[in-house]
Parts: sequence; structure tokens; C-alpha cells
Amino acid sequence: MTATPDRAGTVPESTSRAVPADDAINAAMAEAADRLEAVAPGYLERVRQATGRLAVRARPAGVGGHEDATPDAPAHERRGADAGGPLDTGAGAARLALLAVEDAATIDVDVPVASRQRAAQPLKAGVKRLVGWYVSYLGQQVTVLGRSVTRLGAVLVERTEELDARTEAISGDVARLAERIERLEHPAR
Amino acid sequence: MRIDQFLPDFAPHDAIGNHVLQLRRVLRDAGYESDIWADIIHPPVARQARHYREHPSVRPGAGDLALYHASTYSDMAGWLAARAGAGDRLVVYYHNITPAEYFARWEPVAAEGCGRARRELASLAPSTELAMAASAYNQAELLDTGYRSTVVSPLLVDLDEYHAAPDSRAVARHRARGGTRWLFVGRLAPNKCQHDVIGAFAAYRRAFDPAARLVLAGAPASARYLRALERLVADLELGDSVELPGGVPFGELVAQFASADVFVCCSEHEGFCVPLIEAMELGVPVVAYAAAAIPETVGDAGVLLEDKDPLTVAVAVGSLLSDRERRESLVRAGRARAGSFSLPLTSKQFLGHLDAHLRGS
Repeated sequence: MTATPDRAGTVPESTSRAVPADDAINAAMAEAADRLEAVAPGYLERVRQATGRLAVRARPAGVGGHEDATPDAPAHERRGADAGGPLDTGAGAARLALLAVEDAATIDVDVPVASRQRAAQPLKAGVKRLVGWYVSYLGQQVTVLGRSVTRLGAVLVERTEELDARTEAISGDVARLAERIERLEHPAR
Repeated sequence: MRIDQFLPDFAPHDAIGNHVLQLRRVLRDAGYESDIWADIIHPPVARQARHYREHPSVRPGAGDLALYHASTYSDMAGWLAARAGAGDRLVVYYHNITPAEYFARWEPVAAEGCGRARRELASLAPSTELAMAASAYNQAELLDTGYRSTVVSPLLVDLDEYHAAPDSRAVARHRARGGTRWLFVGRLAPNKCQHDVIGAFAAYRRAFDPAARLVLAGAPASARYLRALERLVADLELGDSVELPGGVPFGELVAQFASADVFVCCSEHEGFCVPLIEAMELGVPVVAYAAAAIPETVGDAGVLLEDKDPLTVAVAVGSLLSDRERRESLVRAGRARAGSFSLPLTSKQFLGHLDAHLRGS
């Protein structure tokens, strides 16, 4: 049995290297940046901001995702709601809350009839048979309502995220405009 | 002796499905009895596998070996652990599991699945005799997860299949629109960062070639991420220069490679990345962000970038395509590199590891 990592000879020889940022590349970058700025002023910055908003790692704080979203977050969210815990309004929290709604939206009308008391089991089964049609009818309507609410939630979350993204996109422009107004109003500063 | 393969999801024409089929052939040729057992079996490969719950019970003392392909979560992991306790011998082949953080924002349920898959991987470590990794990058993760006996054995890919003549009409159709053609192949998933490819392409189009086109072939792993990509294309005013054809049939895939000028990969997490090998084999130069297993797959046969700022990637592509000699030399190096992952070589490596393990034990 192999007891230690055996890298040599098990994978084709890898001599990976990254292209160094030498002078020629720097010159090419500067030239391309100038060309881009000449044909489309501000476009590169727009591209950087737009792609940065979709990045998972090292994306700007407050943009896009919910940093604390953990794999078991829906369950956590549900526990939080049950316990009346603090309301998280982070960017990804709405999606997680929506998942909890989605999870709970389907009503299970197949009532369990098992019981520790022998006599209770047939009684439960009888009641289930008697009211089954009624419970199914109610359950169906509640399920439809739940799904409609989930859909509404999904639309609202999607819309909110779009607005968040747009707000983020224009905040830079607003800051620049404010700076410009400041300079115009106080040219001596 | 039986060496049966187990995998959660057996699909045709994907890297893991192809690998498993090749491994079965290699194992049977080597004289082992070997079948494929899966949880989800897609209809086109229904005749190639059976549901794992139908697997005969453990034959104590027979020394049979179960080879589990770990890539996602499955009840199969617990089932295999129980069988290992009953006397089956367990070998894990690790294809890698996408870190949950990549899906948490887009698909929290999928993120939960990724987390569960990693927990299952860790739970199998104590009962695993040997863990095989598709790359040294994956091997390092196995060691971190608690696996003691590990080896690297690259994925089995039949590169000869890619040399079937591409559909000439499809190639002509792709080429008719002119402009430089960028290509990336892979599921549309947040870890593969297609948004960065779009960003770099947008910069390239304005700075180098306004007629350039980008094809991002691959089925969406997240509908929300797909919508975000479509919005990004619209926001950056790229119109119909970006194509998102979804998963494409094999013939169309070969035609896309045959029409491409450059393969651009900005992925942040890959356990191996078969499309890089496909591109190199088919003479498409590779420009890639040096992350995860990508540097060891590409080796010296592609342009590896330390950052993936849109301008950096655009300039890397622009400089490469404008230098014919460098481009040709990279294509030659790419073919040689892909050759080092040829099916006879990787099959021999796999059997070598297996034989050494069986002899040692």
C-alpha cells in the first residue's frame, strides 16, 4: 500500500509558470487601455464593476451575495424565524428566507397514525379516514397559496437584487458628481 | 476478483461518465470482473449500469474492491461505508467537489449539497484503503481531509475520439460571421467564472477586434447565474456577439473547437478541467487564469495569468493572436501536453497504482 503522496511519475510533468508582467506586457497593457479609453471612455471601468459584482471571491463588501450563507442556512433561517430571532436583512438573507418558505409551502396531509397506545392507533386511523377528504381539500389550497407566496417572494427578491446592483453601479457616478459640484462651488480648495 | 465502480450520477458525455466507462474497459482487459453501479442513471447509459442498491451483498473474504467516484453528495457514501465495515475493500477516486461558497449566493440548496458532499468525503477516509486523485491539487485536498494513502491518477479521456472530422457546415457557419472566436467549454457555474470571460471579451472587442465573438458552451448549473450572465451581456452592450448555446452534442463541440481561435478559461476552481486538454489536443491555444488544478493541467503549454482583470486577459489574448510564431509554438506545445494525457498512458498509470496497491496489501 502506498503510504505517502506519490506525485512524481503519477502525473505528466508539470512545469506551470505564469506569464511575468515584463515591460513589453506593461507597454501592451497601457497601449490597450489608452485605445479602449479613446474608443469607449469609461467602458473598462464599467466592465470591471459589472464583473466584480458577480465575483464570489474578493467581491466588494455589500455587493451581491450573502457572505455568511452556509450550507445549512435554510434550516438555520427556519430556526431563527421560529425563535423570533434577530431579522437578518443581508443581501442573501431574502433568498434563504424564501427557501424556508418554499420548504414549508407543501402541506403533508398524510397524517401519521402510529401511537404508543395500542387502542389509539385504530382510532387515529379511523379519524384520518373520516376527515381525510376534508384535510386533503384544505391542504391542497394551502399548498397552492404557499407556492403563490413563494413565487411572489422570488419576484420581489429578484427585483430587489437588481435594484441593489443598479444602486451600486451608480454610487460611483454620484460620488464623482458630488466631487465635481464641490470643486465648482469651491474652486479655491 | 471483482472491482466494481460506484458513482452517484452516471451521465453520458460528461468527464466522469466517460472516465468510468474507460476504467471499466481497462479493468476488464486486465482480467478483473467489473461493473458500474450508480444512484442516478441517465437513460442513454441505462444499459451500462445498475442501481447500486441492487448490488449483491458483500462476499466475506473474497477481497472484492469497491471503487467510489466522489464528486457530489449521495446516500451511496454511507452505504459504501457500511459495506466497508462488513468486509468490502474501498478505494476512492476523487474528482473534486466545488466549494459551497461558490453556490451559496446563487443556489443555496446546491451549496448545501456541496457541503454535504465534503462531509461525506471526510467520513469515508477512515475506511478507505487507497484514494486516487485526478490531480495533485485534488490529492492535496484528500490529504487535508484525512486520507492517508493517496496517489495521483489523471482522468481517462479518449482524445482520439476528438479527431473525427468536424461538421464542415457547422464550422463554415461559425466562421462565416468573421472576427476572432473565443471559446470556453464548461457548465455555466459560478466557480467557472464565465462572467470574467465575458468581461475580458468585452474589453478585447473594444480594444482589439470589434467583430470578435465568444461562445460559452455548457449546460447551466444555476438558472440564476445564467440569467446574471445574460444580463451582463446586455449591460456591456455585447449584443449577439456572445453565444450561450447550453450543452452541445459531441459533433457540435468538435466543430466549436475547430472554429475557435483561442480557448479562454477564467475558472477559479477545477479539479482537472478536461476542456483544457481538449483544446490543446485540437490545436486551440489556451489562455487561462492560474487557479486550482489548472496550472498542472496546462503545464507550459498555455498562457497562464496571475490575475484576471478584464484588460489583462484581453491583452494576453490580443498579444498571443497577433504573434503568429508564438501562437504556433504554443499550439505545438499544447498537442504535446495533451499527448501526455493520452489514454494508453493514463490507463497504464491507473493500473500501475492499482497493482502496486493490491501487491502491497
